[in-house]
Amino acid sequence: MAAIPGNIDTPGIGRKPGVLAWLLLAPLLVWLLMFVILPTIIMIVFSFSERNELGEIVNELTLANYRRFLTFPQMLPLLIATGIAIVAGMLAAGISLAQRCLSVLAGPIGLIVPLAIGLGVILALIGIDYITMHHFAATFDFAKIASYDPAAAKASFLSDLHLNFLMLPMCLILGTSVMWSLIAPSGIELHNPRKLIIACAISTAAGVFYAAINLVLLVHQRGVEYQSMPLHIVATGPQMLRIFMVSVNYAAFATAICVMMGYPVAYFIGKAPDRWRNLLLMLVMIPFWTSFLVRTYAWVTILRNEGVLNSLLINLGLITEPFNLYPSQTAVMIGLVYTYLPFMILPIYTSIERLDNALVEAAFDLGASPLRAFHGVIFPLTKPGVVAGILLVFVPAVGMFAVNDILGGRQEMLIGNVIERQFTAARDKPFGSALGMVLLVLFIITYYVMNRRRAGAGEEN
Amino acid sequence: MRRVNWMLGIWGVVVILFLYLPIVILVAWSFNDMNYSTQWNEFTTKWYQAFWAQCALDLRDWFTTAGNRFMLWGADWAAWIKLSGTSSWLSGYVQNNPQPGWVSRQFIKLINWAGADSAAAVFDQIPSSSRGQVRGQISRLIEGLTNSLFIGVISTFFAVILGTVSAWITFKYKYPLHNALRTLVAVPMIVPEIIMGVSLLSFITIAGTVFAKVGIPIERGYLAIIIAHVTFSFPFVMVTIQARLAGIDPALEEAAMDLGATPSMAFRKVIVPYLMPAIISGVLMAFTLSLDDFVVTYFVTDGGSETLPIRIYGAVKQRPAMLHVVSTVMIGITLVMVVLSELIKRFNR
Amino acid sequence: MSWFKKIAASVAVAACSLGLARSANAEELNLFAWSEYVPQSVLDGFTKETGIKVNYESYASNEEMLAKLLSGGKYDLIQPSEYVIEALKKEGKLLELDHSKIPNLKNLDPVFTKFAFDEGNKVSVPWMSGTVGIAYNKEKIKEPIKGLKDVFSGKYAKKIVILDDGREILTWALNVQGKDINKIDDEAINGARPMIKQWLQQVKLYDSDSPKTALLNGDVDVGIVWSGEGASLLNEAPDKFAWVLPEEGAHRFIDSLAIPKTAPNPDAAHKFINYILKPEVSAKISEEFPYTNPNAEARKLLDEAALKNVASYPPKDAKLEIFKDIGTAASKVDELYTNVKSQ
Repeated sequence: MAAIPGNIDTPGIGRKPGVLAWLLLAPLLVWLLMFVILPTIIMIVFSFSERNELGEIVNELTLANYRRFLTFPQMLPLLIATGIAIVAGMLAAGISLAQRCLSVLAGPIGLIVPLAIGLGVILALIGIDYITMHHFAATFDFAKIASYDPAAAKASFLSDLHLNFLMLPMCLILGTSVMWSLIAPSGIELHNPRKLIIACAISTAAGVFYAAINLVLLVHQRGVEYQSMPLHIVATGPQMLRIFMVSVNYAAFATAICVMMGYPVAYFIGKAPDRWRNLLLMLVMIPFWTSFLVRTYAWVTILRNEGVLNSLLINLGLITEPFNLYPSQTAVMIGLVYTYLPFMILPIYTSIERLDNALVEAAFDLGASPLRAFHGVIFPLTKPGVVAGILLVFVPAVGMFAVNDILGGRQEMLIGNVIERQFTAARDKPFGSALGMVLLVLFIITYYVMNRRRAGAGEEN
Repeated sequence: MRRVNWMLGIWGVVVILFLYLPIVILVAWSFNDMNYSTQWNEFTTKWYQAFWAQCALDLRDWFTTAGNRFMLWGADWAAWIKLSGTSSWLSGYVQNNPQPGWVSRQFIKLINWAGADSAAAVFDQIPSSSRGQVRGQISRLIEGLTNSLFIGVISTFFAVILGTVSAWITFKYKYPLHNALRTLVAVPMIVPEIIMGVSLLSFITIAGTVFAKVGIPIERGYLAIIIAHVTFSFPFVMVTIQARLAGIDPALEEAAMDLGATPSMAFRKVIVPYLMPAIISGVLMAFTLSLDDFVVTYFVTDGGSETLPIRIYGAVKQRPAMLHVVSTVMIGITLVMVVLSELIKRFNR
Repeated sequence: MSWFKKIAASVAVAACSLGLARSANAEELNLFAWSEYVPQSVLDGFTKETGIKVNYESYASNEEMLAKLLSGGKYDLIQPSEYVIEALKKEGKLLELDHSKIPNLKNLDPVFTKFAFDEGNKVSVPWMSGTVGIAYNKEKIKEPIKGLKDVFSGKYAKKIVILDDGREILTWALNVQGKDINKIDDEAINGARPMIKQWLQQVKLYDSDSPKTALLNGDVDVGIVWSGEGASLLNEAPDKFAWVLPEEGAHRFIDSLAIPKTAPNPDAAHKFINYILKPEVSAKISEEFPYTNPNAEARKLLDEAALKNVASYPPKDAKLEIFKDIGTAASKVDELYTNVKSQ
């Protein structure tokens, strides 16, 4: 049942296709062309179109939809940060990232190259910021807006300059991981406990730093009043990116929790006696067969102030005041984890089932501790399953809007809600398409990187 | 090692409890007396009675007009293939014979025998001001359920055929741009649902008008939902089949053809039976994906074609008790299906 | 391989038999209306009388309706509020009504035929009218609430439910500041921003569909909701809930039925409009969704208690204003809302 998105590369018979073979392929080609490629093309066209008062598309070429969130001093670093967040979330929040870092630290060239990449990215960002603010502002529609004040814009640009440098370490991480996933797919094994500790420290530091950057950005965004800026930019520029960031955070966090919760369960099921295994697997599958909306909705009953959980705790005398769990971000997180947990367990289970028991036993026979056996043998061999699980959880979680609607009381907008809104209530399809395109591009990059890594992992095994 | 196993076991149980907690609550709350509430009031089975009664009444209504719909449906098709004589004869027949036909009458008798009218007495327990609303909610949810099943069956059928044939021919032949094709097939699996939903919506808005001119009306509704569901589920079928194909002996087909089979015979008699386990799991997967999909359907549905998840989403904010009942019924159906499939597996062994 | 054919055949049969349930009906009416606004009994009654099946699709905001209508939705009948009628009329998207097919038009209260957005009911017929006001739980809130300032005084932070509607919220802010609610420009928006920002921080739930559920369940203590929702609350628990129109001024809305030019079945739409204008049908709608009934004949059929419900029938001297079309400023309102909400 566990589908692993991506390519199962079957060698195939590889015969040369004749006329009949092409005819047989035609339905697939037509289908893909009509319902995958064409819609995407239309969306791209939409994202460059304008709309009229009622929200109908007008065929007039414009970049305004992208500029609404792409033209701002903070924009590019934030966008990069979002990209990093996606990649970082993809990299299972640390372990493999640390592997890469360690192998990079092994040689001076490995240290210099990512540093140079990071610095280059930062300088390019500042350059682009400057050009967009000063060149485009003068020539394009910024000038039309009467309230635009170049001096104030320049001041805000200068005052935000340091933020770009805050991005440096994150760009470093990005540069390192992308570079190494592209050119050196096989990682080093962490047999050495000392190296393991170093790796953990690095990944923890990376995580803390990631959180700190987020915090700084959020505080900064709330604190600064952009009174002098044109309304359109104030309204959407940084906010949209903040929303991007928050959505990615939610999804990455939910993915991380799913890995932590799901891996042991998958392992337990995979190693259970035969007659139990099917039953346990069934137990995990059944919730997955009922509509996720219904299950999400049941959480409202549990988490409300006068709900099951709070009344239980109050009756037990553990608390006197109910927890404010619904609606809240915690509730959204619970909902996300709950919805996607089976998607994490199943692929991991598949790879654990394939895991050769003899290898694990050999590790124990050679005197390995359970922990050592885990990081030395079990985890590396089941990594493809984890990667597939991460893709299966993270990708849909970023775009999810229904869980946030039901459990979050619509307090916070996530990127899914914003896009949904553009196509329904706000009637701004061009803008929605532009947002969707950015999301799509980020996913294509992520997928490409992941695929390279997995291809590498395949060679390694 | 033993200690580790114990810890794993406990953790497994905790996680499974976490998975089941909301489901237990759902089932329990379907017996809650109070409508529109998340608070527990009193035990009752009236919602189940109301559900059954409304089901029976709706079914009876349906059968009362089923025969005619059959005819009118035929008339539509006849008109479509330009058999105007047949078309007008069929619709004329319906106008002259509005009564249900023999088969429908038997079903109506069966429903009456099962006590549809006496069951409807349960509606008297509901205050008259909200009675119509409650019945409307049940009807809408039931309609959503039938829509879901209809769309699920059709889209699974096409997804499995498309997925199986595509997997086999891309295995058998090496087309130019092999890798590009593979990546393209993977796109619907990796793109977030929301992007797929909005791009299909844009497609329908624009391309729909173009296709309408050549007589294929692609609008939001059944056709659009089925297209969307096939698009996102066939790659999953294809991947499952490819996984099974990886273990096939490439000479198998040749051997069949050496024994005198044509390529299509070889495919049907040798390859398909070999692929059967994968096809069955593909069917299950496509059907589940279709039944559970919310996001993509949300963008391409229209009023009459709303599937159960959309109807549930609409009802969630009012929290009617009926939602719990329908969910419980669905969980029950799932359980029965799972147990049955397990039994069949055992029996076959 | 006979089983292969068998499976294919049985799937085809199953699909067809299920398909029969929906395709090829004699006549259908696609009604696109607000959620929680059209009683099922009215739809059933209409089907019984005319044999036309009604497909009821619902929406939670005018903007949502517009989006679906303009992306090619095939609806026979829509139910927009006054300012949307104005906009659609201006763009020529609505079908002129054929009054000879709607004899029951005479039942309308004359007041409801004279609004500027559609004088003489050329393209629209009022369904229900209502206001946006404050409903609160008297058991939890002891001191009386008079206006929006009291709601957002900070005392009820995280105990508030409001409508999930940008223009409504902006209107409240403009009312509190004493500005014109139909003059929406950058200045008005920027002026209201800090106030809205401060307000939204106190809100617990946003719900346009059924805000009364949260009040009934005790999730929140006070709500700014549609008057029909407020009236239902008063009907269900008169001792528990109170209803006030904000002293700063309130928005009055008139939801009307209208037929888009793209409607596949305008005849059925006319029939439906005529049907709901029947006094007994209109009264039935009022009983289930107690908004202000624009049908003078129907009001005679309502009982005393319903007419006395302050939420349904506001006092004559109440300060009420209706929305006008604001054109492209709508997207600015949406941006303001998205922006403030996500801070």
